[in-house]
Amino acid sequence: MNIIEFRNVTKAFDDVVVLDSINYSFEEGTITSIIGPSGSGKSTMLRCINQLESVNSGDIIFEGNSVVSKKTNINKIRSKIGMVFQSFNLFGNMSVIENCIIGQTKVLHRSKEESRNIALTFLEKVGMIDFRDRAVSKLSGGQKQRVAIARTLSMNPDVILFDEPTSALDPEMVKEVLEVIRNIAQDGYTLIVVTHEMDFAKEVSNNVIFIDKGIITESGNSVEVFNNPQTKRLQEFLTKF
Amino acid sequence: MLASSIPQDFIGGVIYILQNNYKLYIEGASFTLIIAISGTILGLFLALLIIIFRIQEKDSRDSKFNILMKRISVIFSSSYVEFFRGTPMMVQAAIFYYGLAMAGVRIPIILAGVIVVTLNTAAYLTEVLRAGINAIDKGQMEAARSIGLSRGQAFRHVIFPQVIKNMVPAIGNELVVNIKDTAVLSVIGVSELFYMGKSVAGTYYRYTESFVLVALMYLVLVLITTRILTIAIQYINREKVSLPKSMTGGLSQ
Repeated sequence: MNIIEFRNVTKAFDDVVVLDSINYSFEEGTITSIIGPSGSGKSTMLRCINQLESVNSGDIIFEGNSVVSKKTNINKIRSKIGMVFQSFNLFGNMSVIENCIIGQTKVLHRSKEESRNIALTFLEKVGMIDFRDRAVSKLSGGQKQRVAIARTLSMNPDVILFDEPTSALDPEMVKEVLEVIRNIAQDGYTLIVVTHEMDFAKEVSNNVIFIDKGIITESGNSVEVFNNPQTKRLQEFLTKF
Repeated sequence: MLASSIPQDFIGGVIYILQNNYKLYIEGASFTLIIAISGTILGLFLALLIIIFRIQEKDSRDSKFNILMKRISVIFSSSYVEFFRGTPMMVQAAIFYYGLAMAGVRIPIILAGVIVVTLNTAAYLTEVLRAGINAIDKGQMEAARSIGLSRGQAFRHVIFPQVIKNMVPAIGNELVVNIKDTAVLSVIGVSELFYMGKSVAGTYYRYTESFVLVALMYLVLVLITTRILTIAIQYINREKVSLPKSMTGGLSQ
């Protein structure tokens, strides 16, 4: 079943077209990597899903509802679509566990007690439970990203979007974060990952989308796409890794 | 006659005036402090209200009506700020006080003073808040929105707490400015420190002596306030380190 569907989506920043008539369906329970050169529109495609970017035309359907329509309660939709950012974006005024609690109490209206227990479960999962009362400013990049993942998981989302989750990390820390994402991947979540980590994309994801200049140049089963790239552009791109 | 028994030399005059009028100076200093402190606090609350109007932004999901209301909010709040920052507080006080009198409204003069300082402080602190909000990484707002918080919730729970913590020094600075600037309220007859100094000076025809005393008192008030603020800021920054524990302690209750 399709959980997210792009229907002829076009997005432009002023005169620059970043996404050009994108059509694509993400299947529930699959892991999709979006790859492509910098500025190709990968992150924008991701950010359109939860409407951090609005689209100029076309529609995006999430679980049968248009996220583009003004009638849609976007906050409710966003609570079902988790997002992990390149620069972590942990709330600076809160401790580790509070970062994982705030959305649960304010958006999902769970009790503080329940939210706390759920937060602890996921902090445990990402290996950050011992840091639960720390100020986020005191964490390393890898630790911050693991907390950000726990914050997202605490909302029990149906889909999690990863926007270059390891690009701001030291090589050593990339490993620990990818390890956590691999771990989640086994739990049946629908994951969409914008990444420059080709090995990771190849190994973990079911499907791959290659975007170039706002157009999906190639997409399909990740093994096939990586082992047998059809377009010259993707062949060129892959030789750089 | 009082004026004849006062020593003719400067130092002697200062000491004589202080000995015989210290109660008036202290009363004036108290009014100065009351007006400055309450005006700063109330001004901060008013600024927090005005900033809500000031930061309205057009969103692609807004209806035409919403866009219009947001536009009006921004025009209203920025006009407020421009007016109070663009005119002297002394003139504002005069317009406010005599305007009320003309309309037949009588309010205690100290209240008039507090209101004028509040309105003025609100304008300045609104700008400080706006700068503070702009200084917060936009990723904070995006992360808050991405988990489903509304824009208002994001401001309340994520943005404002960080902005206010950062702006404590600016609020303190505004308090110090207000302690000194209340002097202009003498124009409407608020019996603050400068006003008291002026009336004592008139009693003896010894202006320099009285105003030197007034200056020293302002200096003492400002130095004490600055010291207290410095300690408060150190305390807040120290708290930052132990913040998580106390905060989660509160949450787990």
